[in-house]
Amino acid sequence: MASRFKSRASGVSLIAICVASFATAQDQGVTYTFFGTPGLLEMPTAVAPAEGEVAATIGIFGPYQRNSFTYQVTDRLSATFRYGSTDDYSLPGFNPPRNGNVYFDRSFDLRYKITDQDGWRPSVSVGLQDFLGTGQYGGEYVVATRTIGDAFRVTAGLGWGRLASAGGFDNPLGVISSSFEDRPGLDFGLGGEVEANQFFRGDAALFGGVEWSVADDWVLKAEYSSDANAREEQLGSIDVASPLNFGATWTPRPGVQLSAAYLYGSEIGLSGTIAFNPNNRPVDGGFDSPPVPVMVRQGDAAAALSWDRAADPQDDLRAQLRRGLSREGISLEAFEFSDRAARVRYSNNRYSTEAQAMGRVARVMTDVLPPSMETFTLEPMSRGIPISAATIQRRDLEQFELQAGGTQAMQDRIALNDAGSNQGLTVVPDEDPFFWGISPFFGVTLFDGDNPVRANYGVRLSASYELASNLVVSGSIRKSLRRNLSVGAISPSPLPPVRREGGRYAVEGDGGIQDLSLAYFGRPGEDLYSRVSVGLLEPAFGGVSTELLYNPVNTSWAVGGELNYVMQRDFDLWGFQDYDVVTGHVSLYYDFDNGFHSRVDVGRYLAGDWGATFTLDREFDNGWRLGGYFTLTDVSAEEFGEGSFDKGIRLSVPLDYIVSTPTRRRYNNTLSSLSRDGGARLRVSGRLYEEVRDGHANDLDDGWGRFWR
Amino acid sequence: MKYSLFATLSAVLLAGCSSNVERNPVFDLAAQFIPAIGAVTGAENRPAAPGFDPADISANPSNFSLVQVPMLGDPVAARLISVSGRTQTWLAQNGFSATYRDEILVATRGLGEDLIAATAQGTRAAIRAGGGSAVRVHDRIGNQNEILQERFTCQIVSAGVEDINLGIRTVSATKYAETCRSDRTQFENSYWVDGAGRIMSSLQFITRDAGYLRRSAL
Repeated sequence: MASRFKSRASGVSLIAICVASFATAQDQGVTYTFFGTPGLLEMPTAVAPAEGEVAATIGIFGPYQRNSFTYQVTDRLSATFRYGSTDDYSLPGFNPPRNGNVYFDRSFDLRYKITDQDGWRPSVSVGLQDFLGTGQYGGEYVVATRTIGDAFRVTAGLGWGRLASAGGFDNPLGVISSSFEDRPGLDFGLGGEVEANQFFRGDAALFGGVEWSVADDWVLKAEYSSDANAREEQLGSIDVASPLNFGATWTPRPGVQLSAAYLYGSEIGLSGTIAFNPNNRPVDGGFDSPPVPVMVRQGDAAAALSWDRAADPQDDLRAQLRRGLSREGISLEAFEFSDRAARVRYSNNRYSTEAQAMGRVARVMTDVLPPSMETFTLEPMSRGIPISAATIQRRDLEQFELQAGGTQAMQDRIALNDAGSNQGLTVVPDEDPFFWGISPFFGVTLFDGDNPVRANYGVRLSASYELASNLVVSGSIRKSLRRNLSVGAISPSPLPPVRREGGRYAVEGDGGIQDLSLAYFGRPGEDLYSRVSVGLLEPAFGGVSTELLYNPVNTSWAVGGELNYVMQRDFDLWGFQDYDVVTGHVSLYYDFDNGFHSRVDVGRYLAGDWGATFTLDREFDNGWRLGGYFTLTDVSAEEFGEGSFDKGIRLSVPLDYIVSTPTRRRYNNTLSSLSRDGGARLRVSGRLYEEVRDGHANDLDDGWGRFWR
Repeated sequence: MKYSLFATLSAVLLAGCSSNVERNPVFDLAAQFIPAIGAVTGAENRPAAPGFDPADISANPSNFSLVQVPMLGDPVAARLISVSGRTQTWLAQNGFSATYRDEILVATRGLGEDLIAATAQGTRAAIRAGGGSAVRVHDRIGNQNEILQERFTCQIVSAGVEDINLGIRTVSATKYAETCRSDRTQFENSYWVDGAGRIMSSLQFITRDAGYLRRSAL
């Protein structure tokens, strides 16, 4: 009998019969707590969902509302970001709250699964709860869970901090060192700093519970909680009558969990979780329109050594190639034809991976070009500059298009190099260099100290004109339709107000020019890329931005430098203020080739502070990116203000994942701590690394399965 | 469709319209649910696929066939768009393409979880021999843009003569059933072969999500 603790995976096979089931590495039937972490009701368990799973949970009971995002970063490591509110609450050491005061707080958790269940040995996880905030929920735990048979799961754990506030006893780690026996008082200061001197210190307490999966979609839970809710009870916002909690979780459909519980002998709680996994695309491969089939040369045609220019004049070939590529959403930018070879530069406007665009270009070339042209060189372009050159033999295209293993065979045979020179190329002018667009915009600030959501949305009008393919004037204006921004909601600091007045720009500058700049992109040498941007670069700053990137096509690393001189713009977006600054960074990019991409930027920030930004993203081959960053500069926590330093979570979703038809559009968002002035960078578009990486070996490799798509 | 209206609306809110010739797929998708969006963006007014007029079909019926993928609904016409040696590619009126080598399905495009490529020469040889065994290798695309390869062992047997409806006519043909198994999937293809040895109709496996493809000569 299959385990009832099973993953309610989606995906319906229409006709085919699956004859075998598969063991999966992750735990089955993971449900989430009121804290939004895998576990019982309030207490954690040691189980972990599948790598990549993202779960958004809202848990409400008594004075608490907790909104949590949990992300299973690897098979073993997970991270939680939580924005919670507590009615009638103030932190220990502060005056009791005024009546009706709601306390808002952000918190971060980390947990690591040390061992998997094996035989009679249970899974074991260790976790830090609210380790990077003001510490309302601060606690640590080690927990063991064992799934027994097909429907029972038993958990027992040892907690510290808040998780030892009920039933605490002397810390067993005191055997190692007496320093573990006492937990130092929390010096939360401005929040946002790791409270490592508290970890696993002070009294410890036992917690635990059982889960019983009574049906595929129902799990009953009972737990003993070691959380006394001490401060909340002291303030009278909750009555803890019992440490025992009881509840049930219903999974009406895959990815949706609804829970109800009777908590602490006094409260009814409700929680809901939506979980999804970027690994699981709604439609494998997407509904891209069919490509032109490879035209296989028949008989002696492949042996032709020269191009019959009378039968196939160059102008005709150019027109046919341009038309064929245009049908694929690809612009022909330049070409070079000879008897035995053809070189083509193009811009991919449709496909999320350059590998797929490459496959489409190659097929159109087989359809259009004379049979003597055996060697094809494809040079994808971005921002008007070539980013790589893939050399393909036409006979390989003819041989491998329909052969099992043909995708890998093509990859093995393609030579990837830096793009060639402009010499010999005939440039194809853009027929319509003017572009305009209208789109909605959303500015959402989440989880500030006073209001969970501040939103600003409206309409954005943008336009651009290509003086040359790599020299573009572009600009945009936007008009707000509705907003609840608060001017001056962020408290001042001694630093120049380079970012904290963002609300004033949105309010006073509404309807004004957001950006208007001239950008030039170049290839100053082999493996080198350059950018110069001049004008109103972003709503808050205008000036000059320059950048140089060294990024060989076949390496996992790149190094770049950026130097900017900018002046701060007026809030109404018409003139400039007195503040100007030279800012810039040296950046190192590294692709670990296991789905993780890292980046370190070292330099001077907008407020004149010096420091470094560290970024780590998990990038799925289907285009999802989820990661985080933090910036440390010579600005002290006191000068920085609430949050102590800049940090945040980055999310980028390829739109073709959602709509399942090809598009290069993405939805990007950053959940950051408050927009403060320390560690702030210029927001200039067209930064080089993101522009060129799609055409380089690692990114091509990630999307190579789409070459023949 | 697996999409929910909610997902569609969410996607629309992330999109926009522009002078760019590149269509915005978000609007095309949204237009399926909300006709007004199609009216504004022109997504509804796309011309029908060219080359499928009844006059075209009656003038050259051998360049057309009837195809059906059950998840896409009723049978539609398909036009021969490419011939390379023994390989033929057909473009269906509802937008997908299917490529056959010696009448054995070796690739599809535009069906989501497509059959990227297949090596299946043994099947045709077994049908010609009146039955036998064959090995197939199928490539399909996974949800991380990776190629997933599966190897099948197949048995081909004759299942007698029967009348087969080709859509506009009925012919008498010998049915061959091909049963294939890998360590995780099994499927059964059917082929109806006329007296001259031509496959007049077939029902062939694509992938688990896309299902089967029926194609009949007109």
